[in-house]
Amino acid sequence: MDIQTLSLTNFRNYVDLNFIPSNGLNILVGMNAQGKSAVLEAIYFLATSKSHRTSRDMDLIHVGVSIARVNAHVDRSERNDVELEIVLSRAENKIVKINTVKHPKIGDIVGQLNAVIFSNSDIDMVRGEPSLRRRFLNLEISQVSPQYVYALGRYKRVLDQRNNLLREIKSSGVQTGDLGAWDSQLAQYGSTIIARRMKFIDFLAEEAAKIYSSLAGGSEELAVTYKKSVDIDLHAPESEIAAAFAKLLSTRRGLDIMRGTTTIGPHRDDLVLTINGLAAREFASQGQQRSAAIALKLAEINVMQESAGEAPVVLLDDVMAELDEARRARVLEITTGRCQTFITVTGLEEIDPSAVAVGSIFDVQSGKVTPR
Amino acid sequence: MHYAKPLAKLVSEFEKLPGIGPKSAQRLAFHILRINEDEARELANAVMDVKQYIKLCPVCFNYTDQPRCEICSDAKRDRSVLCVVSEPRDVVAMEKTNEFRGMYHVLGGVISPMDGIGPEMLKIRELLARMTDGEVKEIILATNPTIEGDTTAMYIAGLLKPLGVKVSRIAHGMPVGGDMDYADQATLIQALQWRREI
Repeated sequence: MDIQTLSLTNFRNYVDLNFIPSNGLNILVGMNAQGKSAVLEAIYFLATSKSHRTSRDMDLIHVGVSIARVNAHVDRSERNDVELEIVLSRAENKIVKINTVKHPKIGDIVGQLNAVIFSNSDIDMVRGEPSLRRRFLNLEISQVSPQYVYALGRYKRVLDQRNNLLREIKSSGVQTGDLGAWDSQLAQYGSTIIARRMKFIDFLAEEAAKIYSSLAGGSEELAVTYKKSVDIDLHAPESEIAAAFAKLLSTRRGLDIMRGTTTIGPHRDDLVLTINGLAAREFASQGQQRSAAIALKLAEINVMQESAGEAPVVLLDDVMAELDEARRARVLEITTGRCQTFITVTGLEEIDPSAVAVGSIFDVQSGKVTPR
Repeated sequence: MHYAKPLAKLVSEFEKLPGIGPKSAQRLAFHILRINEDEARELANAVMDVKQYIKLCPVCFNYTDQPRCEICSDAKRDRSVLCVVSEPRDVVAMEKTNEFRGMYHVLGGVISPMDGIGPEMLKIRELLARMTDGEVKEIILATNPTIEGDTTAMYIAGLLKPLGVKVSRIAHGMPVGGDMDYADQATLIQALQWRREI
């Protein structure tokens, strides 16, 4: 899968950009704040409808104008080629167009283009709050499963309604009859989420362990497990997960009412990383945490290739300077020759000369991208 | 924009209506200024009549100007099938099909804790009361396929099942004459889930 053209209008500091990348390694060279990361951000935005740098879409619109546009032609080997576009406006909701047809649901664009992004904040995935790991799971699985996007949206809505009801019951002291109906709705959509996550993590764990041991020289072992609310076997059908989840909700009903919130479910689950049996979040060194984060991301490339049938686009946002030579080489070794790759650097000395030799180099300066 | 006071009042009243913004409100108000007095009185009377004569049918809770609505008093309709909808406008939509010959029950909304609407605020107790004489054999739950509509249907189904009556949910999925290519993913997922053997 690769991007043939990328055009940006009033996106970040680009007023008007028409960028034609190569289908191999693209090296974006420039000083800070020139717009290197914005190119990667735009690609990731088309893939997920979200930015990896900000949760406020308004930040993406060029200062002083009200409408921004991101458009790309994507060449896909497993499916027909596709033209993707997102229009951002300060006054209205964003608009998604697939092959120039406007889609009422933003989520429809997710999965059209698969991208894996590496950035400085990846390490937070290892050492940060569980919510960051859930966000990672949600974003990545969404890219390969429209059903997951659907279930996640419905789940959030049911959760909001159920929490409202729990607060209401708490304050009035009267239990209403509809709690059971909300429980079964939560169990239905929650079980889809849990089942998809189990499958994704099962595959991710295997790949990540292999990659980590090659990064760490074979002396250390990375294990990735899903700390899930429902104790259930990986191969259990969704109906069984739903039944187990519904049972759990009913046994914890008293507690949920007392707290005025749903205390169990995929919105509380976590991805647990251990290195040689110790929790990476608490006990790993910074170097180990960084390796674990990279192993997860590299594993994700394989997982995505497996589920989409073709390699995703890889975005390396300012990560090269952070890595030692061995890890840098490993990252490029896994991606080059297989994935269209975009990499941002402040100077070519940050990457291996052999990579520079095969890559297409672009200079990025104040919102202009010029091939060297 | 400065309007004469009575005009400003009319514009602001129109603005309160659903789907009417400032521009449309202005256009409607100017239109009313142009029409003759008889026409204006007809409109005013129509508004007042609706408020005065339209009541809820005591059986199905649809709007009616009779002691009992037309559908409920029609002896030719099939009293063994009951279609449960959330709003009176859903009855209108169903009636347009000319297919359904059973009776209706209008809930007057859907369960939504966020909006402070619990089951006791809907006409669910009244629905159960209609079951007592054993005339109704089948209930079709035709609330919208939203989270709230689904939950309401699920809740009502839970109450009806023990009564031994047949309970069904209207199908959802691909629209008739629809194009697979243009269907959104949520619709396609639903269509797959609710597929049936042919």
